[in-house]
Amino acid sequence: MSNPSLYNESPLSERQMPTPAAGRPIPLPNSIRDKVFSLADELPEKERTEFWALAVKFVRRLKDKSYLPVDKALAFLRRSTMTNEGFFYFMDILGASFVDVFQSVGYEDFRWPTIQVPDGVDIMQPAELDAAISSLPVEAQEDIRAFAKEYGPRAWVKESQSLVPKVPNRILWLLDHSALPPQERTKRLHAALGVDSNPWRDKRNSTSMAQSLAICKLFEVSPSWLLSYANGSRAVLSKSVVSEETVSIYLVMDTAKRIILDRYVRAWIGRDKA
Amino acid sequence: MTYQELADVVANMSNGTSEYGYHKEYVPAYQEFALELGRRLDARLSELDISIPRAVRRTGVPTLAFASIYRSRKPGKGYSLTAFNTAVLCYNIFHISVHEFLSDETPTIQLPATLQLVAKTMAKLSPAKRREVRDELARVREEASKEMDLDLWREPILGPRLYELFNDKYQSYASFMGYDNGKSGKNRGPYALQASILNGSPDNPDGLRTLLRGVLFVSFRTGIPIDYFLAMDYTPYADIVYRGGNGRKVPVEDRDTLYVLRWLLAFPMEKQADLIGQMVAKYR
Repeated sequence: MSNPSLYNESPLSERQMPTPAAGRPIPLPNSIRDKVFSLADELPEKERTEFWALAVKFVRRLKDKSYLPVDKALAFLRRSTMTNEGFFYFMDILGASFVDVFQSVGYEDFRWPTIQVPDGVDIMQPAELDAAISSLPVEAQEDIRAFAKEYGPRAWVKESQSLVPKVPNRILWLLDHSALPPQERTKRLHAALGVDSNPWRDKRNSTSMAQSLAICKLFEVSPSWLLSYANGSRAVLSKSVVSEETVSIYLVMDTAKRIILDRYVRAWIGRDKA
Repeated sequence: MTYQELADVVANMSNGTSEYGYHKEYVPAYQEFALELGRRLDARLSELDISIPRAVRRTGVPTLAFASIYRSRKPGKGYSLTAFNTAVLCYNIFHISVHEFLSDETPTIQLPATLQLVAKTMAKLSPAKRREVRDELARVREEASKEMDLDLWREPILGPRLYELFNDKYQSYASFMGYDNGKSGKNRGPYALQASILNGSPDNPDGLRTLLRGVLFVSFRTGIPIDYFLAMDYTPYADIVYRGGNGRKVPVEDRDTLYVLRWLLAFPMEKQADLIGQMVAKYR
């Protein structure tokens, strides 16, 4: 792929992702903000008007000012950093794919994060599981999803029903499940969010887009994953929603449950080959 | 102070926590309960047919010293055995569950998610098929016992059980225990909190010296009988249930299913999950 990767130390990614001084906000990579608004500008006139009306409403709510003039609100939007909430809000109105937006400004395609596998345990990485499930017949895919849903953590189902992706939950997931040693995880998180941050306490979705992208870089996960919806019905991917949903459940499981789901999928692969 | 009264103290506690992570009313209440436990211990020991030193030596557990048992039964001293030693005492000498020792009632334990899967799968099978699963597992067990020690009662199981429980609920320790993260007194992080209540500090990672009051506190807060945290195989000591389709609790009474469950419990976590995965894939 010719797109400069988020993780390559190319001049572009250096410019987009400066290493932040502790506690200082990172400027939003303008390309993403501009891309979101350029998509809005491409809308037919009626939808475009509606979009900007909603955008003004959003800024007024954000700034808690019911009297903010339209031009000031729009100017604020055009130059300010964007929170995750804002990003989801506008993407929801636009109905655009996260992956497309990230890709169009040079970020990497959707990629599942890697999980820590204990020594001597043979289980598939999320990407492998995704590929394995996608290769099975539809009937098998549905059966595996039903099994994972029935057996997976109930809280996942709750999270998946939420309209806004739980980015803080995903950051916590990264802290808990990353293959990095605990000290290194905290160090990286502090580098991205500032030393005063406490992800256990701060469960709001107010992390800025720029901070989210910095976290992606520091934990080596793709932004499309961090910012994607947990619920497959609001898919950010063009491929199988079924496998996406199953792998999302796989990610929030502990090792014992992952082993069971892994064996279940392997049994289906064996049956399929036979 | 009876078991039920202590449970009521925990249920009606204020939000403030002491420096050890417990709620401040708990420790004085437990100390009263410990006096009652000392009396219970004395009554149980008086019923024994054999001498205490001999009964203790038979258990083969080096941490269980009969001197501490004598001290705990003395009037006015209060019960002071660790959670692990209490479990050894109850299971190997009195042959009752810890819950029964504490409260005179038989506990009811709901299976964790992985074993619930086994119970549900077994319930769907015919008696002949269930027998087949049991025989198959018996073969696996015999084969595995050549390579690993599948004998129960070797070490405390507390750490893995807590891990299993939090993962089943998909929660951190602190929120699972009903604390607001970051507001839990001096112990900010969830792990510090766990360490302080269960004495699971880095020099005691296995919980061998965890006090009974700590495990009992977790048991009260979670509403799960204490035997779940102490017995590697809790099936003989409790009524086993699993959550049925509409949320009602279904008892596991089939002998083959109970055998399968107890044999699975003896396996280490990875091997157990591997066997469950294969079994469910084959019979579901």
